Amino acid sequence: MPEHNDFFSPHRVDESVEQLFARDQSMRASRFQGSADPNARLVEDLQKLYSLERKQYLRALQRVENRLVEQYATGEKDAVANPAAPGQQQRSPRKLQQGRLYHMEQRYPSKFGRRISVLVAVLIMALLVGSLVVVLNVTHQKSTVRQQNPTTLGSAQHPTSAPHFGKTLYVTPSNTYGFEALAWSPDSQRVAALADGAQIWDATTGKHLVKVQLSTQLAYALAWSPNSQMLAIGTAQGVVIVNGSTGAIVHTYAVNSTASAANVTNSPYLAALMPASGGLGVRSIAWSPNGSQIAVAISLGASGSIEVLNAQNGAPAFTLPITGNYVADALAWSSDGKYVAANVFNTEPGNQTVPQAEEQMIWAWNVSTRQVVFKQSGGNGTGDPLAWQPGSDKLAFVTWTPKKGGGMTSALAVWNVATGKLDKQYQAGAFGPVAWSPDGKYLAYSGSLPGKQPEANLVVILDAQSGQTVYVYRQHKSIVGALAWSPNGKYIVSGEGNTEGNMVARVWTAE
Amino acid sequence: MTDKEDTTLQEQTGPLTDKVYLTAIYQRYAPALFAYLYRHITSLEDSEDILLEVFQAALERPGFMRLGPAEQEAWLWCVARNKMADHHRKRARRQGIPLELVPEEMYEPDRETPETALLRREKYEQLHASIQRLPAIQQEIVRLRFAMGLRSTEIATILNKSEGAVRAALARALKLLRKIYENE
Repeated sequence: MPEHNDFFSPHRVDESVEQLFARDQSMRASRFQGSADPNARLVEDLQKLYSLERKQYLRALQRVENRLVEQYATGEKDAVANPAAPGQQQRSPRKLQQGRLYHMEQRYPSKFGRRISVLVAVLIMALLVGSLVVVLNVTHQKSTVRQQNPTTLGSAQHPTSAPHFGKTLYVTPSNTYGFEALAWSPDSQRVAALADGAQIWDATTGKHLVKVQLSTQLAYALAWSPNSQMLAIGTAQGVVIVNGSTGAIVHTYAVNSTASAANVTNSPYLAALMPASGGLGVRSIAWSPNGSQIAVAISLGASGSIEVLNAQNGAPAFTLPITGNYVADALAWSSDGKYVAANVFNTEPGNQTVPQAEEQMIWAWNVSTRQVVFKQSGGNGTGDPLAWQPGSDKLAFVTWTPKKGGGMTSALAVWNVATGKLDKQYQAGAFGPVAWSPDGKYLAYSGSLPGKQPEANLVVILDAQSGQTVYVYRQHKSIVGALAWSPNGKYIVSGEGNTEGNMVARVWTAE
Repeated sequence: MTDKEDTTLQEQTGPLTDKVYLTAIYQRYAPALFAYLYRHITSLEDSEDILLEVFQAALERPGFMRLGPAEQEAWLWCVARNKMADHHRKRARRQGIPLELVPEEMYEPDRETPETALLRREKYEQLHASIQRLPAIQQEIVRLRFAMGLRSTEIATILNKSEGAVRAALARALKLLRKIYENE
């Protein structure tokens, strides 16, 4: 195929890349469907890989353009009437804010003057640094006082009148990759987080209690035991059960590496689909409501299964089968223990035999019969895009439908899994984690308000009955990848993730 | 980077305050100049400031707008190189202001779109790893092409290489990276 080989030949490489850019734009209609053409896929992936950096540059360029236009296009008369010599140009507003050194250098051109200016500058710097230290000290003290104040979360002393949505109690930083998972202990006393390994912090103060010493940093999932004593962590190697108070490892269950796993690792492309570079991995964990079993979503790369383990000894109890090339990456156990639901995704993007609607699906199994009883298009790979309504057989999850003129539009659907009927559907720009309030009245989701795409870093709370937006939390600067409502119904922890930068988790009131 | 608007820029003789002229000239030359400055200065803020100064100097130079496009470009590059050298000389004497004192809203953290967040990080691990294994010069060219959005001719100016050499290196890098997608 000479033409194919020549696609990226030196004499037309720019044109080829730009041709694919243009094609890519027009093919955005299909969000999940990768192209089969390796050239197109490479260019598409490179674009995505560099998209963050690219956006950063474009914003920088835009900022400079704005400053330039501001100075010259708003009638900066001096500049036109009196063309300044180089070195006497207009200082940008930013330069002015950056300190007075520049002005002083100009005002005292002599050596002596320069010396004085340096002296003054040093004094100013000292003053600035000094005031900074004082300010930092004061704020630090304030925040420490706030964090240590037991009344902030104490249920007894909590004021009962004022509206309680959205008051931020504390902010916790993570590593640069953000929060992979967040989970409240069922007694609402502690929060477990996956960010640079696993950690457990005190829910009242946000103080970091313990960091779990895992042998691998590749951890993807968290689940508390119903009695809040134990925490299960899913890693690239298996399941680690730790003491929920001390973080000490109690058990480690390795994932059985089967023959099928060895087969798939030979193909370089399939290897790319494995969780990070860890090969086999546990994608998600759900503890059964009665505490006796743990459901574990295992990825073997191209395929996967859900293994249910005995929580006492880690022995495999039974398997919930996944047929076809699907891997589950979010699990939820219904509150009566009858069903397990999972977000499954097809591991062959671009395979034409898989309809687009079946690339991302929500499946549910009847635990006693181990049969799949529910299959609907929906979900995605961010956070846990599905949640059972407490005390019911209703499952809420994120769905996507193609939009006219390209793109996808997202919604939240609530299905009754027992009857197989759609219960409610809300217009919502939800793309990631979904959480119910413990009383089942409200649904929180991460995303944007419907029809308002630019603002994507929101946590929105809906009234499940009316579908009305009750509250919008706007404090996040980055997309929220993990979300959990405290079991006592009072707070939400929301953690930024899936992008790079200074990610934080925020705990805020939600009642 | 589409067609070069040679005629528009050449015939434009309006006053310096003409926003259309300003924007046209900025959007045409700024990306490559910025990539060059950022490559040598590595601080985004400083690169922005110097880029602004380069254009200020151009706009305040009498007769700049009467120059032909090639001369304008050459002049801008000359100013950028000088400013960059100045910056490195100054840096030895002048310390920057602590970041804490810079107004925060100007550098708010990156906002993300739902699309990018949806992507599974691990899907790109292999591509990322393959890029890391490329020779340094090819890595840089791929970055300038995809992160900065520059064409080979602009990349060549930045790296002080011939356009042909850049095209050959970019083609080689892309063909290597494409292998990941071919062995299905």
